[in-house]
Amino acid sequence: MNTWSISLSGISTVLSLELKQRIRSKKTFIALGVWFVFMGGITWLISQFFDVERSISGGEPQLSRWLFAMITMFVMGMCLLVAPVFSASSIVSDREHGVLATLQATKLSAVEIAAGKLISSWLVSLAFVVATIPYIAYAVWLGGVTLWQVCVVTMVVFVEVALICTIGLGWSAIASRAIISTVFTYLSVAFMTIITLIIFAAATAMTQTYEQVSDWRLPDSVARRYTAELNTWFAEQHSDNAAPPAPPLNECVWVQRDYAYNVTHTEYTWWLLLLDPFVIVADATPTSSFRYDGMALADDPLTVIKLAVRSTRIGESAGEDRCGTAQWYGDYYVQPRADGTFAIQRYGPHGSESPSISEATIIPESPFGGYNIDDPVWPWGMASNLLIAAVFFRLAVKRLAVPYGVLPTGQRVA
Amino acid sequence: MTDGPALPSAAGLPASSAPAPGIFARQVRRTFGSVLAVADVSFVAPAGAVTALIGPNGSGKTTLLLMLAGLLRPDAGQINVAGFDMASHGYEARIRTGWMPDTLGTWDALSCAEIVTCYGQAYGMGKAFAAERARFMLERVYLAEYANAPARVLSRGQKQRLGLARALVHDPQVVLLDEPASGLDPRSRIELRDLLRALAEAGKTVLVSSHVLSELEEIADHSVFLQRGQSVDIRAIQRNITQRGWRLEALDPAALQAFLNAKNVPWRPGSAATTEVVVNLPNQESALALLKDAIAAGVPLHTIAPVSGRLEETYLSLDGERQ
Ligand SMILES: Nc1ncnc2c1ncn2[C@@H]1O[C@H](COP(=O)(O)OP(=O)(O)OP(=O)(O)O)[C@@H](O)[C@H]1O
Ligand SMILES: [Mg+2]
Repeated sequence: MNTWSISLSGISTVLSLELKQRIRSKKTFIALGVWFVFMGGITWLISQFFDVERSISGGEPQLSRWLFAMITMFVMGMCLLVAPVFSASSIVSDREHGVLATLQATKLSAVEIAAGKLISSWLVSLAFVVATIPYIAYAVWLGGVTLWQVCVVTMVVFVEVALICTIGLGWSAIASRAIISTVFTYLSVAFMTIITLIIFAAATAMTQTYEQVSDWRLPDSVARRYTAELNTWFAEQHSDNAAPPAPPLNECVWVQRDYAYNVTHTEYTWWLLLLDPFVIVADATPTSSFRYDGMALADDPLTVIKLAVRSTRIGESAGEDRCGTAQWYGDYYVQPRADGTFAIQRYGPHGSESPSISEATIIPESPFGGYNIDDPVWPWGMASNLLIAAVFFRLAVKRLAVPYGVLPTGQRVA
Repeated sequence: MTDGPALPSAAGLPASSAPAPGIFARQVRRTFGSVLAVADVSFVAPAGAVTALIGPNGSGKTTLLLMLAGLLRPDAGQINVAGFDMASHGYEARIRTGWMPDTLGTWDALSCAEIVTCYGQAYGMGKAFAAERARFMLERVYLAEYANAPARVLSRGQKQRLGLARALVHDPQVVLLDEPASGLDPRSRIELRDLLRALAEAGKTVLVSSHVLSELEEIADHSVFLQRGQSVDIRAIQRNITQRGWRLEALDPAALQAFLNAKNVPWRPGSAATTEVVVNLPNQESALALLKDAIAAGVPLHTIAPVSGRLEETYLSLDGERQ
């Protein structure tokens, strides 16, 4: 009937009703105070691991990045634990107290009741996120973390808390007792954060195949020829702006490795990690990895997670793109540069002091059709989480809609 | 109720002067799994009258009221409330209905005034208007002095009255009260009775379920009996009631007993605290005849009254009552 009709005044009636109850109860504020002190203690503990003094002097910003990453993960984790407290009892406890039916009998629609309850539990949970701002500000103050990163992390935490609140709301609409919906909400959090990891590990183990992986690279003969060319060029005397030869990348081919081993096909299972709020927050945070030897590397936990997840998506069997990344040819370390040139550095007994820049060449298109380490996974994670939230919200609305058709066994309307 | 603050048209409620259609139910049925709660109920509760809903525990009163309030869908049958068919215009019917459940639920942290205001807002009133309306309603149920007290401190009877104020905040056309008298002291019952009569006089349809039969007898214009989920034809029952108990009391109990023995009227002692006796008589005419004879015989008779109300007798004559 008017199940899906929605009005701002209806939502705000439910919202103010819910918030009034939360604000009146001292418990909320005591919990908030305990939380603030607790998070302060954790921040202090984490900072003891690092030489904060050195970090402030500007030498090693990765220390504060570590601090920021740890605080972020911790805030995230704790918010996932706090949100169910406020959401998982919302509908079922009204039902237990016999006030739900009288609300349903009014003009309020099921969506308005559900939305009002969702927003109120979300706002209360957000108070807990906001209470951690001083500690995040501390990490920013240490340097090495940008405000933009803080904004993104905060937004992601807001959304993830909303997700947990919606799941709690859904369970509270189904359950016959508050304790049951709370347990199920915590199980859902555990499922998304830990159990999917376990499933991922188990599923990935089953994808192993014994095979020879191929890499996209120069055949050995061509690499030897190019090394010889470089030897010749570096043996000669050149003017300062002379350019050594660029690697003949148009001769790149797929070369099968000469050994076989157990390859795990994480490219089939990586999506299991998408549900994890920690993956989403780590992947969404605009931290910068750096490249070394053509490998993306990280010096803080958020980036470590980010790179780990992205490489599971690429998968091992894809082989390596040795034509698109820096490579060693004999004594020469050849790094591609953005403008199509290569920086060629000679090491060893005849090592040069600075790299010589090759002529610009047109680097042929890489045959790597799949994903790149720079492709984000978080939009998929966010989308899957929003989908779950939508399912649970719809469930809550369905369970609030009157008149009731079938009632779950053992439930009375009033 | 008409002397309260006028409801704005925004509340979407029709003017109460229009002839209101009341409640019609036809062959309503509702099961919960294998439990048949309401088997076949048909009745009419006209507007401008108080209708009593009477039946033993588990006979389906609460279930029936839930269906009338638009919270439970009947499995079969037709319900028409305030002129709207439940199946097709449930929302319109629902917002014109004030329903008070038998379970008392309140939000402990909120004050009485806030609770009633909140329901006013839930019915689409503006905040200021809802607050004014809440103040009026609390006065109406004699809770004005508790307006700012948290609902948690109220006594059971006070909570019951708060529930009543809550159910009537939007000046509903149809008032459904599930055992409103339970927990009320005698004075509050009389006040409730006056309130319900006032509602009926204002043209509302009032349906009250209750076990306090003596109360209902005074309030109700009509009654609907439920038995095992079925509405019972009370006229048929009342026809079957051949004998009513009458209570007789005289200044000289011995003389009364001797008189009854002489007239061959079987009697039994009444309540132990008094000297009254109880006799069974088929109808009022025979009661009158007995009274005349007693006076003529010089028995100092000062009281003759039916032992129980008509509702109570009808109720007790329902066979296999409790479930
Ligand atoms: N949600 C439910 N699930 C299963 N059975 C139910 C449910 N609600 C009511 N019943 C059953 O339906 C029957 C009627 O219940 P209802 O509450 O309508 O009785 P009632 O007339 O209001 O009784 P009382 O006078 O005790 O309030 C009972 O047998 C009850 O057990
Ligand atoms: Mg009942």
